[in-house]
Amino acid sequence: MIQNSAQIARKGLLARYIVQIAVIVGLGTVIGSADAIIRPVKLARTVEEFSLPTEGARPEVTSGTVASDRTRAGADEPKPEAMTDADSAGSSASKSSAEGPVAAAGQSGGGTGGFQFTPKDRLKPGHITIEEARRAFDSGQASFVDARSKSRYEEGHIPGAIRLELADFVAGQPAKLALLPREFMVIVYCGGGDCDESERVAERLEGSGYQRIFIIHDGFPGWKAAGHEVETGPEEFE
Amino acid sequence: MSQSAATSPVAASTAERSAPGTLTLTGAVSFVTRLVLGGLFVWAAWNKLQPPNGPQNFADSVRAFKLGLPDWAVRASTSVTPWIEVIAGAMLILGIWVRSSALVIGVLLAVFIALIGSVIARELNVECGCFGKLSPFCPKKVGMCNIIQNGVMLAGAVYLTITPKTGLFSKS
Repeated sequence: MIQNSAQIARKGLLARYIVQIAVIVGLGTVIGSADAIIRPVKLARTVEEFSLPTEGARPEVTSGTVASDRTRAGADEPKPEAMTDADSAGSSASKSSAEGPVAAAGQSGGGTGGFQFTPKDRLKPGHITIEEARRAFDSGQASFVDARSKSRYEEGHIPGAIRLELADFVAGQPAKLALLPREFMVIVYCGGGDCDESERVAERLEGSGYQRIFIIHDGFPGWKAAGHEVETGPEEFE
Repeated sequence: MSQSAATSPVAASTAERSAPGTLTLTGAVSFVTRLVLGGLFVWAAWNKLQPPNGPQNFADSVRAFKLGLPDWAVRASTSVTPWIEVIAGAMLILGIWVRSSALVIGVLLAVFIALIGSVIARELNVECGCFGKLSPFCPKKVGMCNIIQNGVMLAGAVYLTITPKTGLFSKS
């Protein structure tokens, strides 16, 4: 009898704890669900088909003094022929500017060092090829955003690119957004491959009101491997 | 045995080791553990819920862990987890349903430790997001420090779960 009473008491205690835990978790779930409806998080951005803006002069990004140790590799060289990414997977870039002072790593042995460019038909929505990025660059109506770290940026970046990391958006809209014209398309890149920092930054840019946002799928390594211009040095507008 | 003259002979023969109103060691340890653990969880949850970007930052952290979760699971974990932390943490601070709150927090911590271990094993370079945009005790990038940090908190949660309910002061 005493043993049964003890067992009953234990079961009662266990039931009480289960109810308490269920109330804590249940309350959190209900309030959290309501919060999710009131303040939904954005997990994907709106993507559209890439189309070139009308041709025009590339805008100069105005800033303060130019960093004295900034170098612009290949700027005075004739622009290389744009790559056709669909038929260049696994093949060398064979750029005519290989003899120019373009970033050396992308031109070793006169080719791309075996860089595998991703063909257009294998890109995710909202991603563009190196060739499309180049065309946007030449059109003069696209802003480029580098989503990599400061050190990576300084080692080399697309000329005129503004550096914006996800951390810059944590406290709200970063001041650098004033340098990105809203009427231009925005092209974001990072390290290519598994790097998804560009996707995160693109989402934040969309949340900040930018609309035509694209990501260079093969990132900066692809741009460099294709033999396009590369700038090195710190940002003018940190 | 207490020297106090306030206890009756019957009480003295059957009861307590300390006089009524004496601070008990177990009570003090439980009290401090409740306040610290509950306070840390409420603070961590607040940083994840704080407008304007708290929930979005936390969602980004969850996705950065690359767990392969579908969107609905990311949304659910992003919105529900901080609120469970707030409720359980507040209950600990107030001393309400201590064992149950501590058990819930303990389970959360065990899950966090497993996830951080997974990130370290896969050599991902991600930020913890444990305290929202802040990293008060460890570097921002996930590492062993986060496991140790969570392990210490887990020890506190286990202690509160298994320790019988004890008041701060002994009762008559």
